[in-house]
Amino acid sequence: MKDRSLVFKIIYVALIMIFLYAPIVVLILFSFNSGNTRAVFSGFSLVHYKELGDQADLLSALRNTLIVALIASVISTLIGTYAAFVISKLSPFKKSAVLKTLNIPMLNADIVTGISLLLFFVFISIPLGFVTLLIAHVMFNVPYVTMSVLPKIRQLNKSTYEAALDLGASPALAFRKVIFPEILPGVISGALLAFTLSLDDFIISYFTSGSDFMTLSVCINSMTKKTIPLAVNALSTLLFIGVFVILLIVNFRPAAKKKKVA
Amino acid sequence: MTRVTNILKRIPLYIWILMFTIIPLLMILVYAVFEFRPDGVHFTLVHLKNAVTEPLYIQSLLRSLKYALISTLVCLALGYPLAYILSRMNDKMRSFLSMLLLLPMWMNFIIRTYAMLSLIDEEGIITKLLGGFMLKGTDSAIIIGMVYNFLPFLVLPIYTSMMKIDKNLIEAAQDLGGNSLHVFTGVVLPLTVPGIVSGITMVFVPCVTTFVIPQLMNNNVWTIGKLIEYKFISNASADGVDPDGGALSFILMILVFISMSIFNLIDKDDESAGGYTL
Repeated sequence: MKDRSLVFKIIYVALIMIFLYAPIVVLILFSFNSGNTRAVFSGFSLVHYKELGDQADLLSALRNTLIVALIASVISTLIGTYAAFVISKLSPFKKSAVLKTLNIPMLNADIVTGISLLLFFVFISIPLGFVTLLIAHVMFNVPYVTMSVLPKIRQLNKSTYEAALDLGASPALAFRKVIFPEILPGVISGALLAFTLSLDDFIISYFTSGSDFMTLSVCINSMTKKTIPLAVNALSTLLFIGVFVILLIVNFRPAAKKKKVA
Repeated sequence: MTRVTNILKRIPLYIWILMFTIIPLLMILVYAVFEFRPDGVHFTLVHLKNAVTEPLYIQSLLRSLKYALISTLVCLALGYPLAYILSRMNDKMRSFLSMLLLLPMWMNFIIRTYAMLSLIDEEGIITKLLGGFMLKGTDSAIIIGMVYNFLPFLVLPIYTSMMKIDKNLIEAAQDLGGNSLHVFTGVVLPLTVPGIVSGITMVFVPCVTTFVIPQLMNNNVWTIGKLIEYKFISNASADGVDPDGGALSFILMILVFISMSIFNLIDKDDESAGGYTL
């Protein structure tokens, strides 16, 4: 009886994983296709990886994406952390009101956020491009940073900061030595979250980037109007493997450390 | 003195929120009721009226709601058992499988959706398995695309709320003679309602508003997202914004806010009710 339900569970989980992974496996497989179609696998080859070097659009879009994600995550980490400090000092009523408004982009549909920013930029006549895209990314990243820093501020022990002041530290030094190390994990996870959200965003970028400055998602979306070249499969495979390796390192390093200690 | 500096410290935050969250959202309303023409700005309710009376618009909206509803239900039917199975596994298996569940989300969603499309188009493997029946271009293709993209978003909050359930509660229910169905309906299900509600929000709203998935999977039908995208980008005129587009976005924004507050309400109700529904 127990065995049968276990078998059922394994099959169920396996079927869902197949559903989630079949497209990705096929995508990766066909990135090694020596032919040019997505239908027939004519043999193993790295030709589409070599083609990547010639895909100027794709490479510049990749570079744009990384630049925007990097700058947007740095700026939104600064603003989001500052916002978390301000919000933590507000009265409960104001706190909830400010948080609710700040979090709108987190809960709102991306298309509404994208359109609202597009109309805003059109209204104040800023031409769409790098600057508007950057503002949009910072705008939707800030609440995620604030939400990951805020719990760390709540956990702060006030007395240690006051003790540092009593012992003669300037407020700036006390902040750097006492508060900053405590909130750092929240700041880092907020920054990472912001970076990945920026990398992954399509809809908001689509509405706020204009036609001259393309991110990777926007570039690939424009390619779907025709047939996507298999070089895109090659690039996606490389990015996917990159993320997979980073996740493995992040997930399994602490365990390895613990083993060493033990 | 410190009061004044405290207030001064807050002002940049308020300006930030006002500038980049509140004013842009108000802009949607502005563009819904004002026409910006070379000869000046004109107030009109025609476009709002169009947005709620034009048959194409209403049909697109209803169709989007239909796809979103079906996809959310399918996600729930597939995802709830998955979350349940995951939550009862040992630690190692659990962390491995939840990583597997998250991993696809690290691949760009357009590429992923396109990859799914290539399985069900003219030459796709699934089309061949179905004996030449092509799913691409059907309603089912849209549902498949939505479920494929958003299933993890539904599983994770439910899984999290299952992990929070005190194991003692389940044991207590079993000790009191509840069979597994009783334990499930009396303890597990009521305690995971908050997870279900937040999971549904995370699937339903993106499903209603997406334009990429219908564009790729079945470009023969209009959805509200596609319509808005068309008005603002594909068919944008050089001299400005299609005014119906502003009105449609306004309607969609109201709809999103309404569905979010409904979900909020359900969530709150449940918290006060606790797990005493049996």
